[in-house]
This record gives sequence, C-alpha cells and structure tokens, in this order.
Amino acid sequence: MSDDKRHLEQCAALALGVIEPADRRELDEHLAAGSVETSMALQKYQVAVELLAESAPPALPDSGLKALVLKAIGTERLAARAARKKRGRFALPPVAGWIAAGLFAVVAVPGWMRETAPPTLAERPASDPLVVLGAPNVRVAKLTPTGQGAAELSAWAFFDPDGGNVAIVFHNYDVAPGRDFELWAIRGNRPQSLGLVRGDKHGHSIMSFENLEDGIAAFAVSREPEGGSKEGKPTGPILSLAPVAG
Amino acid sequence: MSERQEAKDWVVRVQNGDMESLQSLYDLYTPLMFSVARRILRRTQDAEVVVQQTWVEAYRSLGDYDPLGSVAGWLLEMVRTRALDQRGSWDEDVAREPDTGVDPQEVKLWKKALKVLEGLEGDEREILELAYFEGQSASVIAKTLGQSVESVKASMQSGLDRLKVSEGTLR
Repeated sequence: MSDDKRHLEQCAALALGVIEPADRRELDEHLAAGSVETSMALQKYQVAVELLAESAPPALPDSGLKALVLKAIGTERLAARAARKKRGRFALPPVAGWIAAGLFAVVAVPGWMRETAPPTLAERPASDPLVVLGAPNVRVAKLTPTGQGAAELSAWAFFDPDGGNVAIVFHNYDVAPGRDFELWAIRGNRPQSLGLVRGDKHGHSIMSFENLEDGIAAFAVSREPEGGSKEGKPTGPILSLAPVAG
Repeated sequence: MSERQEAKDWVVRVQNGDMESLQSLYDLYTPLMFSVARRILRRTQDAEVVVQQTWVEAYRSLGDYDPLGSVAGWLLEMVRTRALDQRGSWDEDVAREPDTGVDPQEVKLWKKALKVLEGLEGDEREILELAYFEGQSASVIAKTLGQSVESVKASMQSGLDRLKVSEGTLR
C-alpha cells in the first residue's frame, strides 16, 4: 500500500474518532512535515463525518434543558468573573482568564515566597508579562495551529500596541530532538526572529519583549533545525499563526 | 453569511460575553447534538445530561476552538466522546426509548443523510456507523465482521470519500 493511501485511511479513522495510537503518531508526524493534501483530506473527512452524525434519528430534548444549560453556564461565568476580581484590578478578555491565572502562578508566586514584598507594576520592566496584561489597550491573539504541526500546540499573544510590549504564553510546545521552535514577528513579507521557544518539561513557556518596532501584522512559530533558522526567515513549516488586528 | 460562518461569529461573541449568541448556538446545534447522544446512549434522560455537560465543557473551552474547523464538528466531537465514555460502563442491551419530539429542520437533514448513506457500497455504512456511533476501532470491527483490519480501514476511507462527494449536494 502506498504511503498516501495509508495516510488517507488514517485521516478517515481520525475523523471518525477511532484512530489507533500508532497510526495517530504516524499521521501527526506526516502532517507536521507539511502535507497540504493530507491536511485538506482530513478537513473534508471531518465534514463528511458531520453528515454521518445527521443520520442519527432526530429527537429533541426536554424544553427545560435550555434553561438548565444557561443557568449552569451563567454560574460558571459568575465564578470566573469573581475569580478575576479577586485576582486584581486587571480587566482581561474572558478567553484570557485561565492564561492570566497561569501567568500569575508563574510570575507572581515566586515573589510571594520571598520575605520582601514583590515589586509593584511600576517597578517591573515594561516587558514583564503582568505589565503587558495590565496595559489599558492590550490586544489578545491566539496562535492557531496551521495543520502543519500537532493540533495540541497552543499559544496566546498579549500585545500592548502603545509601548510595543508583547508577552506570549506557550503550551504543549514539546520539541523533537534535533529541532527547535522559532518565534517570528511578521511585518508585510518581512519576518523578524524573536528567538527560540524553549518549553519546560511540560512544553510551557512565556516569552516577552519590550519596544518592538511598529507594524507587526502577525506572530508565527516555525519548526527549524536545532539552533534556529540561519537564513533570517523561516525555513521549516509554519506551525501556528496569529494575525494581530490593526 | 453562511450558517457556518455565522456560528463562528457567535463563538467569538460568546467569548466576549454575549450570552444571546450562546442561546443562538444552543438553538442551532442542540437538536443534532442531542440526536447523536441519544443514538449512542439510547436513553433520553442520559442523553440530556450528556448534552448539558457538553455545553458547559464547550463554554469552558471556548479558547480551544480552532476557527479552521466547523463549530458543528467541534461540538459533535465533544458530545460523541462524552456519550461513548458514559456508555462504557453500561449493559450493552439497553433498549432504545421511544422517540421524543422532533425538529422539522432536523428531520429534513436526517432524510437527506439517510439517502446519502443508502448510496454507500458493501459494508461501508455498517462500518462507518460502528466506528462513529459505537466507537469501535478498525480492529474491533474487523473481528465483529470477520474481515481483515486493512479491509475495514479501506472501507472507512472509501465510505467517507463517498459521503464527502455527496455532502456537496446537500449543503
């Protein structure tokens, strides 16, 4: 059987939610290598599976379920809001709440453990993630996986356009031996390397920058040979991308 | 704007705290989510619990939604996984409860979907249904049907290929 045929069969099993672990590993590696055809086939199979779902005999839940769902979500919402209030005066977009919690844990807790008081915001450098998060006009952008890498890659960029300060939080960025993830700021067609993403043993990392030059249209992460690209531009596949709204 | 694009916009609005958009998403997708959960679980009340849990999970994980994929696919994957997990500990011989109310729009989609499934060849339909609604892997299906694993995997792919071609005529 050809590799292409086998990868298509693996896409079908993945879309149906029944892919076996060994096949999943092989398919992930193949997708990470940047196969556009396979990525497109996977997307099409996912749509076909929706049609299969529509073949389930139609039925409606009790009309009271909607009220239950909305009430449960309302409770979640209030709890999240209360937690944000408790954490401090920074107003964050709802999607950023859990990331902020992670940042507070990573950045603020070591300060609390010291006997002296942690530095105030004014005492922290402009690129400190907490300062970026607290900026009045902070923008949030998700680095969305492009399909060229593992779907678990997750990262959020917090961008303060007033000072050009940026904090980016990465999750699940586990790099294979002999490779590195490299972060890029894209202006028009001009990429600028912002350095290598070096995750901890859980694939977590926070990178922050001060006074970045204006005109950033997007942030991107590529997979490069160990040590990063030597050509001043991505040489490997772009794994995730976040356009920055103007 | 297509229904799919509109749903993506609703997701963004819910992320920004718009609860009306959440209700729109609920109204649009709950009938299908419930139908899938009930097809898997067979019992109405259990399907309702799973659908409720899925919506709360979806709200918590809004940030994980990948805008490259469809909202329906994202929600269906969650509800199917939950329903199959729930059923894992059950007696296999649960009888399907009588049908409850139906949404006319869902009936239309259902009839079209059934027509497309009728166009599948050989064991393709049975294999796709065992995989999706029963959560059975190719090796389990192969044992059940007395076929080789390779043959089952090939049928999964050819079946989805045929559905994919027909899908364009339905939407």
